[in-house]
Amino acid sequence: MTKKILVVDDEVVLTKMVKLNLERTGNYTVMTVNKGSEALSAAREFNPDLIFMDVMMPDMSGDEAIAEIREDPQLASIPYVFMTAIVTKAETEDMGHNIGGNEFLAKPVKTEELIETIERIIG
Amino acid sequence: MKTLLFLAVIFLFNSLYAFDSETKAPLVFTVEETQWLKEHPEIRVASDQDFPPVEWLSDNNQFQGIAIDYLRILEKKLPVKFIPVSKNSWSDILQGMKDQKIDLISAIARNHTREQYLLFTRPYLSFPAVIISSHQYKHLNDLQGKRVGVVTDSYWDDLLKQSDFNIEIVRLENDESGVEMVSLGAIDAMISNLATVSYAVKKMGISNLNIVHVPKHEHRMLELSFGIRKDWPLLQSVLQKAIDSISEEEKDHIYNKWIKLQPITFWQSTQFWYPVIIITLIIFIGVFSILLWNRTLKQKIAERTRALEKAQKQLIYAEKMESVGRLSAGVAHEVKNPLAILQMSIDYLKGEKNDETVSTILNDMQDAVERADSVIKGLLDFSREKELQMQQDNINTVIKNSIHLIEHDIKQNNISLNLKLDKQLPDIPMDKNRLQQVFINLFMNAIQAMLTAAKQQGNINNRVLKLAVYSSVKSVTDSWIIENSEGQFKTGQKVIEIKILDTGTGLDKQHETAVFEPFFTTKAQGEGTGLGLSVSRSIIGLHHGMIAMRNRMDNTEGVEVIILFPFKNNKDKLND
Repeated sequence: MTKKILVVDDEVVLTKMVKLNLERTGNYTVMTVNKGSEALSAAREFNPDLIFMDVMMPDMSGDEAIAEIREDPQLASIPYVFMTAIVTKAETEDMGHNIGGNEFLAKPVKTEELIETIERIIG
Repeated sequence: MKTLLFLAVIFLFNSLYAFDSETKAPLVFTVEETQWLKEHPEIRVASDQDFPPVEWLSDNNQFQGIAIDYLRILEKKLPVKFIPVSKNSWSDILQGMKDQKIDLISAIARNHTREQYLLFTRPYLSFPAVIISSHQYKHLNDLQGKRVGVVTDSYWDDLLKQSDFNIEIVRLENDESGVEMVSLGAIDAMISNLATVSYAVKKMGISNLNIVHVPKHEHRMLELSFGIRKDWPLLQSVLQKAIDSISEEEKDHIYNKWIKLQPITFWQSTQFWYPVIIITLIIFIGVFSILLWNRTLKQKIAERTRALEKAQKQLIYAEKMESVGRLSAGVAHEVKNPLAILQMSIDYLKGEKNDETVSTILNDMQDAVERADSVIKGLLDFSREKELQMQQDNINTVIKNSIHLIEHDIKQNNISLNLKLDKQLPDIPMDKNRLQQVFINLFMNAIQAMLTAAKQQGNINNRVLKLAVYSSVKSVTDSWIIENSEGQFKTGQKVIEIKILDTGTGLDKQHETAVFEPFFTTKAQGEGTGLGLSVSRSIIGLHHGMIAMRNRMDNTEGVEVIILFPFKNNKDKLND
């Protein structure tokens, strides 16, 4: 049984590469969306085990998207990890706490880091 | 011609005046006096040949002076003829009187000695006693123990002889010789009377002497009378009557004729000089004050200029920091996303079947991504001043920890380490991690500079690579440091000093301050962001310290980094 990962990022190529790298292991099924505003419907449809969420996206920011998802009682317990390009590790720790996030990753992220994170949280 | 006419008028006026005086009430004599006058139609008179302006022998061998004028008037008033007796010296005259070879002395001061062989009229001339010297003697007492001149056998001579003054008396021929001796310093002072001395001084044109009146209470006026032979009391009474009949105007006329009371020229008077001195002094003080004021103004301007320059520098720096901050946030986002894509792509390709070349290329790509990422991290670190986590700790500990973290680099590059840490260093409040960042940065810079120098030299093994780190508590004395601290540290201030010395490439003089500017780097492209020292300076600044860098002062190639922290002992801490 593969784990279902939802990746939300406005960088199309990035989401594609994440999907390729994760699915190639055979352990994960990945769904990608490229708009913050599409995250909620994708989550409802896909019902992921974990969400990778970009922070800065043009239509809706990552924390807003996560807030929406958590309002849905069925989705509220899904763990999520922020991926960000604008801050360093130390800084995003604070940010994660502020919006109730569990984890963060600073871009550029290596595939092995992604896998480690997934396994640590839902392994 | 006009002058002659003028003189003639004066002469006429004088004659009329004289005539007028002679018309005073006739003299009344007693029978005995009249009889005596008949019996003595000629009277032998002696005058001092050298006692100007009272009496003296002129160049054409005629007596003249005040006393002589008196004699002339008396001669007109009395039925007698005065026969001048020529005597070479005053002493001879006195002897002549004693021997009764002379009947009358025209001017002589009365004293006890002379009373033994002379009768005197009441004084008809009096002059104040004066002390003549080049010093500021004001009283006769001031002359104690000094060499003091008096004219031989003069009134003053007798006076000093009789007094108990402890004075070495030098007897003089006349006032002129005395004035000369005083002027030349052969004697300390001379006592005489105002009239004759003034005359002598003026005649000789001497200007370096002080003529000081002997205060009246100490004595003394020179009072001159006619001296009459002791056995002729009738001549005394006759002369006295005749003298009394001379009007005051006539006396004044004679006096003024010989003692010209010229008004003192303005530049000779103290009334002129006091204001001049005071005004000069005021001007001098004024000018001096202005100069002083000017100096303090200059200093203030320099201070203000320094402060402004510092503020300007800080402003430029702050602006730079701000633009770096703004830039880096944007750049971070725009660069990190593509880097993330590259990273994922590399990861993907690494998982495919690759030959050796492709693997190498992928590794190089991985390195490039990491390098780019570290630049971005540096930018973000730099642009955001995180709050310091302050704790009491010891700099020595931070230095040791930092050294520990770079130990690998030190050993690998065969660098000898000289660590001299002062155990007396007090704990200070600090953010240990941020300071560690600073020291690691500085140590790595040093190591890189030393390796570069070794490379330039071409033979790494021959180059001595030496990193020295010293810590100490001391007082600031180095003016270069004070200048660089821009007013933060002052001479003599107690500080904690950290010195880091390397044997690297050294520093171009113009880079001494530039090295701390954001984006300044001498490293090759890709080896540094130029932010390390800038960040270090910010961190040291947040600890109220300073950091400066210059070429080593001990003739060794390399730089020395100096870091100062304000010293606070435990007492101060408690008061904080």
